[in-house]
Amino acid sequence: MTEAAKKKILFLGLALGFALMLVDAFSLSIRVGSEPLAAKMVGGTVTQAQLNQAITQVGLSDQGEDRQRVLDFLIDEELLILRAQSVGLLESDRTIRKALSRAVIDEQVKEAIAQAPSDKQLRLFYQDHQAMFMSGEMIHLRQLFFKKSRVSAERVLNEPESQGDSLNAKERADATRRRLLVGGDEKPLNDPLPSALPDALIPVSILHRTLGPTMAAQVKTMRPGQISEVIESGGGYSLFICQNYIEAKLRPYEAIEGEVLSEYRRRARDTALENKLRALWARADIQISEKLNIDLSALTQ
Amino acid sequence: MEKNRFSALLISVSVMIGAGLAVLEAMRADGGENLSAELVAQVNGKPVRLVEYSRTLDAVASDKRDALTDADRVFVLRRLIEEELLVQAGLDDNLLTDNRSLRTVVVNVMLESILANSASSPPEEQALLAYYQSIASLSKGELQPFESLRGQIEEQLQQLQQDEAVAAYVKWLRQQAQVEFVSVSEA
Repeated sequence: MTEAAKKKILFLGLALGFALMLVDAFSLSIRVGSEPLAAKMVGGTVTQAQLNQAITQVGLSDQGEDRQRVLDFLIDEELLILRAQSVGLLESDRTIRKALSRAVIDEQVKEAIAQAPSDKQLRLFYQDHQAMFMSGEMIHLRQLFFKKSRVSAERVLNEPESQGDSLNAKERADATRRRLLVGGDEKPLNDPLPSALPDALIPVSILHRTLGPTMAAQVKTMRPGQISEVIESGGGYSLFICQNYIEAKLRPYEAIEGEVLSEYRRRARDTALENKLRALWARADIQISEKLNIDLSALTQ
Repeated sequence: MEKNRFSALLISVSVMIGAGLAVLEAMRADGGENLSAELVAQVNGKPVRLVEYSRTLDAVASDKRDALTDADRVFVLRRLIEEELLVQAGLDDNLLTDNRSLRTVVVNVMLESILANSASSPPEEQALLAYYQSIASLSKGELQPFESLRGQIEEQLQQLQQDEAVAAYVKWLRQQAQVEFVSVSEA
C-alpha cells in the first residue's frame, strides 16, 4: 500500500469517527438522559416519570384506558408547548413572559429560603438590623386652631392697609400662648380643628399625614409640657401642646423571633434575586438605543 | 519561491481575519446606533421594543402626579431589560420541562390562540333545533320548550364547536410530530 493510500485511509477514518461522534451527540440531545419514555415525538418526549406523576396527581389507575387518557393529555400538552415554542409565542406573549420571569424568580427564592437559618444567624441579623425591630415612637399632641375669617367689605374700605382678620387670628393665638406659658388655660379663643389630629397617642411616623410634612417636622420633637410657637398654615394659626411622648424601644428578640425570621427570609429572597439579575447582566450583551437620550450610567447602578 | 508564496498567503489570511474581527467589533461597539427605530434596546440579540417601552412609561405616568423624570425612564428601561434577561434564563434553564404551572400557562395561551383563530359565527337556527331534538329524543321526561332552553343550547353548541376546533388542531399537531408510543418493555 502506498503512503498516499495510507494517508487517504487515515483521513477517511478520522472523518468517519468525527461524523459518528456528531450523530451520537445529536441523538443524545433528543433523549432525556437515560429516563424511560412513555412517548416520543419530533422535538419532544413524555417520560414514564412524568406519566406516573400525572396519574398519581389525578388519582386514576395506571392501567388500561385511564393510563392512556393521561398519556394522551400529556402528549397533547407537550405538542402545544412545542408549537408555542416554534411560533415564538414563548418570547412574545405577555402572559407567558410574566409567567417565565416569575418562575425564574421562584426558583431563585426557593433555593434561598430552603436553608433554615440557625438561631445564631437570626440573632446576628436581629443585632445588625435593630432599627427594623423598634417599637414605634409615639406622641400625644393637642392642637389649638385659630381660623382666619373672611375680611368684611367695610373693613377693607376703612382699613385698606390692615391685614384684616388674619391679625385677629394671630393675636388670639399669641394671647393664648402667653396665657398657657404662665400656666393659664386657653379660654374659648380657639376655633374647631380643621384636621382630624386624634387627641391620643399616635405614631410619630404618621403625623405628616394629618398635619402635612412642614408642620409635622416642627412638632414631632416636642416633649411633654412643651407649647409650640404659633405656626401659620393656610387657613389660620395653630398651637400645639405636647401631652405625652413614648420613645422607640428595641423589642426583645424572644418576643419577635417569628418576625425576625420573616424579615430574614424576605431579605434572603431579595438578595437571591439581586444576585441572579447581577449575574445575568454581567453575562449579557446589552445594546441601548442612543435615541433614548437619557443618562444611561444609572442603568447599571 | 514557494516560501514567498506561502508567506504572502499567510499574510493575506491574517489581514482578512483581522479586518473581519475589526468589522465585527465595530458593529458591536456601534450597536446602539445601529438599532432599528422600533427598538429601545437589544438583549443578547433579542429586541426590547419601543412600543413596549412607551406603554410601560405611560402606565408609570398615569400613577404619578408630576411629569416623568429621567429616573423614571431609566427605571422602566431597566425593568424591561431585566424581564428579557429573566425570560431568556427561564428558557435556557428548561423550566418548561418540569414546571407544571408554567406549562399550564403556555397551554392556556395556545388554546386561546386556537379559539381566537377559529372564531366561528353563532350556531344557525337549524343546528339549534337539531340539537334540541336530539336532547328531546334522549330525555325520559318532558323537556322544557325550545325557546326557554335556547340560551343554554347556544352555549353548549358553541362549546362543542370550540372543542372540535381544538381537537382538530391537536390532531394536526400529532400528525406533524409523528407521535410514537413507547411500550413499557421497550422503555
